[in-house]
Amino acid sequence: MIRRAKGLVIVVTLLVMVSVIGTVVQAKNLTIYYGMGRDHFAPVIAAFTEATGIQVDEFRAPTEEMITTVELELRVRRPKADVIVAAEPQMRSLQSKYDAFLEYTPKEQDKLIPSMQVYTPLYTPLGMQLYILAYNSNLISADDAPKSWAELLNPKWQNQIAIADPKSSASVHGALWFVAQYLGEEVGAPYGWEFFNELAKLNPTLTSGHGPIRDLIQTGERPLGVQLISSEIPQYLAGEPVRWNIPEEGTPVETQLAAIIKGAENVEDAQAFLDWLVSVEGQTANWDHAVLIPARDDVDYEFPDGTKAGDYTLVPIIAEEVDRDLNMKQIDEAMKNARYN
Amino acid sequence: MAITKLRKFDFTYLVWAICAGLLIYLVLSPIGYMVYESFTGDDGAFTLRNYYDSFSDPSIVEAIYNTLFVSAGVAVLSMLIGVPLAYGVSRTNMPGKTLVKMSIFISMITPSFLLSMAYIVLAGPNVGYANRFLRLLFNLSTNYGPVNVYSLLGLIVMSVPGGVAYVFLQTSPAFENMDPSLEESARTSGANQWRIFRDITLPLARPAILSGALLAFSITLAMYGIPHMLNMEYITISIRKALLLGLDFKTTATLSIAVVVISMVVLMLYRMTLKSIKSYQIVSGKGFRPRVLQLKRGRYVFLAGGIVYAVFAFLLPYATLVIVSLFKKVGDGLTWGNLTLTNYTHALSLPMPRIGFANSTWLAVWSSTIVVMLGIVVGYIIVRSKVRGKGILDYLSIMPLGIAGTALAAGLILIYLGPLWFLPVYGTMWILLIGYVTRFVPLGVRNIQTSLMQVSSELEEASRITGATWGQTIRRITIPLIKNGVLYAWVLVFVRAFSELSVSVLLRNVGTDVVATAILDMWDGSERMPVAMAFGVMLFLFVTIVILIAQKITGRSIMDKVEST
Repeated sequence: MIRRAKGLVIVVTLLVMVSVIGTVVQAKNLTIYYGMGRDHFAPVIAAFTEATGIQVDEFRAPTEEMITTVELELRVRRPKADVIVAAEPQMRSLQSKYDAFLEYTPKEQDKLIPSMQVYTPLYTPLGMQLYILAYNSNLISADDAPKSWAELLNPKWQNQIAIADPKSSASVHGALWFVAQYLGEEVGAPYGWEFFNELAKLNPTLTSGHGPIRDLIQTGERPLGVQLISSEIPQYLAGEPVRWNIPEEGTPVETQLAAIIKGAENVEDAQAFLDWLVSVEGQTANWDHAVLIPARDDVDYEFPDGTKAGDYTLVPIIAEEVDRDLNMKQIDEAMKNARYN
Repeated sequence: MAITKLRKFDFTYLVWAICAGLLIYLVLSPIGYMVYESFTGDDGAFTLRNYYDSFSDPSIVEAIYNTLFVSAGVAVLSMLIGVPLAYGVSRTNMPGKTLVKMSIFISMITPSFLLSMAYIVLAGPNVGYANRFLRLLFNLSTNYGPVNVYSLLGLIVMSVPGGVAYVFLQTSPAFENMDPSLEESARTSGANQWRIFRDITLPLARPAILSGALLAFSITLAMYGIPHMLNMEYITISIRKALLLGLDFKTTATLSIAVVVISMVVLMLYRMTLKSIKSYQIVSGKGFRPRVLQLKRGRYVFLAGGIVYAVFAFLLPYATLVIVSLFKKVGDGLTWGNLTLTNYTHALSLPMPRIGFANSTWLAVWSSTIVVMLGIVVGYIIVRSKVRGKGILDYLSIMPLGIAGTALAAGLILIYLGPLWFLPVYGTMWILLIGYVTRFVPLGVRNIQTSLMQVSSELEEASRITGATWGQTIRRITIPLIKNGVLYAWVLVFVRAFSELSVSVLLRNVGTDVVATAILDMWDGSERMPVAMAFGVMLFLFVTIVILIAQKITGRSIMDKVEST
């Protein structure tokens, strides 16, 4: 009888302890939703917390999925996020559908470079990232590696290429816009959508995001990738056998933006976060951890080879022209046609 | 007078009603709402347009084809491998029975996405270790393949170990408990062992074999992790994409109902085959002792089959997980200088795995407890009571087996953002708990039902005759007799819930990530591959420790008591 009672006490105590654990992890703080790799942006958030003492709850999912989660919450008028961080096309889409964001001009907005100031007061720019052609240097020599988008179509890259799937990745829509629409109109063949029809014949792997591309390049399973520079610089610095070329025709530049959701519970903390993001400290953290090219020119940075973004041909993505549905449909059809023809 | 009437009132009907109500809420309400969404337009009017639009989308057609092809392939291969293994372990003197049982058990508890992580490294067509080995062995000149994990065949091969486990678990008891008199008669009449196996043993075991194959088909139909990692078109992936990438409630509902319908047909066939399998009682003292064949060289054939299964089901994949988890740099491969334990310490230092671990523990403990409590009540009503309509309870409790996790999760999102929007459930741990309990109710009910069926009712009747009340009999006779079965059910649900993915991947939100979504997040790029694999190894070790503790408490090996639903 006593043993049974003891057993019951132990079981109840364990259940209560487990319940407390379950409760503790759900404490509400400044809540930030983002789609960048967690290994990139979590350290930025940690730096913010260290600088300001403001605790943050974060939710990270592939950008398209994260945006849909926000949309679901907005539909029932119960947004849980205070701040959203995503690429420009996705942020503009959210704003145009739901009038989702609160205007706020961060304190050092005037220190941003002019092309970044245009985003305020609705959005706060974090920085920029650009596309590269990354390769495994153990398997592909520097001479052999493609130096342009057009060289990607060389048949020797059959079964060697990885590129993000537009159904999961937000950033790749910028790259698709650049090659299919921008270069397609400015230059013509081999660019346009025909470029991707030809690329599909080389059996590229479509990945759920840019992290898997990093792993595929490093293992050598797909030694060549259409990749974001922010995913490869940390690997290079860690000694992994990765190198890259920035395409000769130019490369699209995507701006990562942050904004406060209307109906946010922690507006003051959210504003503090935006202020910090554009400060020297925040911009330095964005470069050091998320490898985002700074939005201020008084924050120093350089690529591992000593160059900077301005040394290359960069084309800012025109968000209004990015058609996500069209991109998904075109890539789907290109891959199917290549499989069955 | 009133008290006398109250004492005479049969509370079983009240309990039945409460259980039925709860199961209807858990199981039927999300499905019912999805049926409504799939058959109505945006204006609420009846329409078949959603089905027409969905099934004329080429990528959905491809997903359905892939799903049915892979599920059928896994079912067939699982039979071809699982039946000989079950026969060898149950009816022969083959060595290595413990190895086979351990492999089967590990296949049951291993999350499928862990296996796929390992096989992607092993069987990647360019530089996978298996391909490099095969090219060397057969002096192949190609740089691509011969094995390609990113294919339907790759999907089948990675899913087969789990399917074999289900076939084994259904057929092994059938072989062990077969009436030996028919085989003895055939032997006496001069039939050789192969003829006896073909004409007597196999036909008698056919219902069990079919039920195992149907289970393997059903589980494969509902899988999420492997197709996600291979980025292949699959029906569960299409459901997630429709909801989370397209916010298309109609397509989500339509595809979910399609999966439910296919699964329900399979489930009905499964239950029909189950009815052909005789249940057995052990506690009352009766049982069959079939003849164990004393094979000579033949037993080494079974051993070879067992070793091959063990190698592909867990030795090779887990060895790969462990080795890659020790890499300092992925690009440098397997060299002594490239090994480190820092990926483990790094994984433990990250907030997300810790949050996932805490959440998974909370969910696993509570869902196991609730499922087992529900299982005792529902199982008792089904097995012991004479309540009219108990068959409904039986069917309701087993229905979630026929609902893919992603379909269930989609239904929960639709219902808690739709008609039940006023309940603050969406985006919280509560929606995950509801999903887990619904998903694992069949495990609890079925395992406790089996335990109850093994206990003769004579013991309870004797208790009632000597004056004990219904409650006293349950407390002092029934529960002590089935306590090991109850504990086993709790552990089984805990293990499954702890590594659950297909419901969690749709329902997770801020602060509600679980272990499986944390690993998926790492695999999808948030951390390097070795860190993701290190966390996967730790998940497996934790689950194994829980099972070993359970074995210590019950005093017997869980592998001997393995049951499937």
